[in-house]
Amino acid sequence: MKICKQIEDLIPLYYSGDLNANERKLVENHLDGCPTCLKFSRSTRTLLNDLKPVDIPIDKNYGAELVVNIQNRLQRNRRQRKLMHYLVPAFSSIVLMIIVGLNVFSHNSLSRQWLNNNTMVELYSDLTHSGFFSEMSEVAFEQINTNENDRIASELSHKISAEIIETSGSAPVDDYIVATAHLTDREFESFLKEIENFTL
Amino acid sequence: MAEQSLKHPGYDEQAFNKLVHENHQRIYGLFRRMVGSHAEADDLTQETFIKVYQSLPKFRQESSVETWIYRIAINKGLNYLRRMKIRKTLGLEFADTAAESGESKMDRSDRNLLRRVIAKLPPRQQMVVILRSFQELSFKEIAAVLNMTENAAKVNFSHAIKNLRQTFLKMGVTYENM
Repeated sequence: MKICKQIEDLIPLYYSGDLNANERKLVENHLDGCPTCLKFSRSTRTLLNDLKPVDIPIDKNYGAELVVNIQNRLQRNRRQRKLMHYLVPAFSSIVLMIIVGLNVFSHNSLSRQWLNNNTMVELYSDLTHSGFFSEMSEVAFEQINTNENDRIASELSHKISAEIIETSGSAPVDDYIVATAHLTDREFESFLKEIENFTL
Repeated sequence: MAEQSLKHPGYDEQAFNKLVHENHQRIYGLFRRMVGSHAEADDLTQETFIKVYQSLPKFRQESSVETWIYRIAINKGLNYLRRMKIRKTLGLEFADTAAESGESKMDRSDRNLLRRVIAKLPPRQQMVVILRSFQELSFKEIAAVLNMTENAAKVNFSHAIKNLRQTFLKMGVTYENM
């Protein structure tokens, strides 16, 4: 019945003392004439008695210990935050240095690969005629302006000059100009003597 | 609950320690009733006050400090119970010993059994029962702590008691004829 459902909802509040006078009267009147709800109310009362709080024994020193433990944990948290404050930038710097280092290393390796290339003239010709070679020194060597790269660039230029001179018969006029730009005075004189016999 | 006025004791160690001293029994008691063991209750109490310390600058004093601390504690407790439920579901914890024992009749006055049965209630009902029956808060205070209306708190309490009764009946613990 609908009224029984409503009374069932009120019974826990009846025993917990949370009903007003009118509501209490309503429940009591209904229980007088309804054995089902009376049975329900008795079992609810027993259950609510079981739910009454039991004393939780707390050691008298617990409060003081708790304060110390909380302060220790807060101290630990502060130390960890402080550590992170230094660690994060330090770690980021290391990662950045590794990235830059790897970048430099890969550029050096590329330069060495060029020097060790067996088909230097073909490579040189390809790059010269594609317009890449003349820009290579600006792009590659200006980015990483180190002595090592200067040395590699100079070494490369000399190798290319030597290769062109050795195969001068088939090299185009522009290549002679590029090649002679890196020669010392003595090498240039010797080069002029060598090409005297050539007809351009 | 007595009103307390407080000016961010997070910046003042002594004021914060006083706050812990004044409230620790209620919070520790709440957790003991929720989770049972001293170690877990102690850990949750510490976590609650650490959260209180960290959140004090954000406390807008719209409610009393006690209500606010209760609210933090309730959230901590509910999160803990959810984690434990997940652990149980994943088989990381032993299954409910009462269910395993296969007893048809159990001692209804067993506080652990009572705690386990309460833990089976929906979270809001669970909290209302603990706060009303164990912590003896008024429905007005419960409404403030759980951020609900007083009427909603009362409805949750009634439903919780009915559900508890039903659960006990299913477990073979009868409250009839008592």
